[in-house]
Amino acid sequence: MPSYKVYYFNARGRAEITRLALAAAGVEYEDIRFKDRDDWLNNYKQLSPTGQSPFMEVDGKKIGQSLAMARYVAREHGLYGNSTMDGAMIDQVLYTLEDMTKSLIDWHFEQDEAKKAEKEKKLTDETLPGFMQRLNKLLKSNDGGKGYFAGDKLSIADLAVFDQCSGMVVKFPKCMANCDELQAFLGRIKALPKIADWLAKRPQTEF
Amino acid sequence: MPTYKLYYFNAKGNAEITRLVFAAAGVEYEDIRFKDRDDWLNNYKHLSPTGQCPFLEVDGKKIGQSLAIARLVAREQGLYGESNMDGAMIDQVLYTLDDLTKPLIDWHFEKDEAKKAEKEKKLAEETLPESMQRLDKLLKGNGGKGYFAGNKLSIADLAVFNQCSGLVVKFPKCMDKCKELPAFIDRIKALPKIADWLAKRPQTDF
Repeated sequence: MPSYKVYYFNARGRAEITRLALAAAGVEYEDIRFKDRDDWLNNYKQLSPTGQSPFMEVDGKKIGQSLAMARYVAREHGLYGNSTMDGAMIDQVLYTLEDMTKSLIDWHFEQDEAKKAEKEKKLTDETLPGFMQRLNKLLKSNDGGKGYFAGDKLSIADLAVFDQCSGMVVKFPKCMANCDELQAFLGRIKALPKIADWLAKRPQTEF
Repeated sequence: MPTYKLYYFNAKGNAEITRLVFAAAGVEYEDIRFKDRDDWLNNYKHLSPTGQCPFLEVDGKKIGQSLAIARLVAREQGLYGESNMDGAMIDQVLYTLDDLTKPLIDWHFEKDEAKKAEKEKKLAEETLPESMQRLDKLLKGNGGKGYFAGNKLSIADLAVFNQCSGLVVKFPKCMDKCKELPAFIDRIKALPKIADWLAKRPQTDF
């Protein structure tokens, strides 16, 4: 078993997908969390291959970019489907989530209060329900939506949807109205033993 | 060999990375280009698995999302490195490029002229040079082999070529502080299958 170290702030943020993948794979790793921004800037930034975080070390070799890390763990530990077509289905989901993340980030960092309220309304009424319906449709296209997003087993796509949506539904509770398959799916992933175990023991952080 | 059909507008845009992968792999495909927006909306949108384009059909199975498509073809045709670690190095590059999408789109669609000039200045002086230097460092980090990952051409090389050759037209100084990247772009441009595609592809604005 290789030795893994994940480096990030004390937050779920961009590292959580990799932590979920490691949890699902049942793989031990060092979960390194910077004390604060200064700790990152003074002690860790120079170690990162892209000068950003999160980054990961695998037997000494460093990988940057949150989804490069998550995909690596997924491929090494059987969480990337059973074929290149499964992989494409997984990628379709991951990129749909990325598009959603970008619109959330846009809203989150908006300084002008009036514009922010406008963006929040658009997210609530249009953008997020649109994305949730797209995901619901992708889920249903695989075995009627009763299982996973790709193939017949858990993959990084399932974990990424769980990670993103379970956070989002707190701030945007109506975004998954009419997405019955997706809601049931989230309940299923949350209850998987290795996932439930991680959810119970992970540090509780605001984001 | 599977049958591939690629569906997009008559543009490079988000489909060009996949077209470059096909070209580098020497693989035939149907390069379907919508006549205009109405043609897309009326005749093709309902075929797309995500309601967006580009999308790809592989032996009848459809896939959406430009980079899901590009990655699939890359993996099928030997342009995704030779190990999972090569794959991670490739992904590192693809995501570094992806981080540029938002600030570029943000600037491109800014209607307020003063704000647009401000965003352009920030792109030209900070965001793009930083990103280009990050890529330069990743290229050097692969032991001077001339590729971004492993020992041979991969989708990472094609993606950097695709993005940077476009950027340098509007932002000519963005690679000024890069030691390896400009020569790298020229090398990719000169690869026979790539040069061939560049010469014969439809000439479009974007």
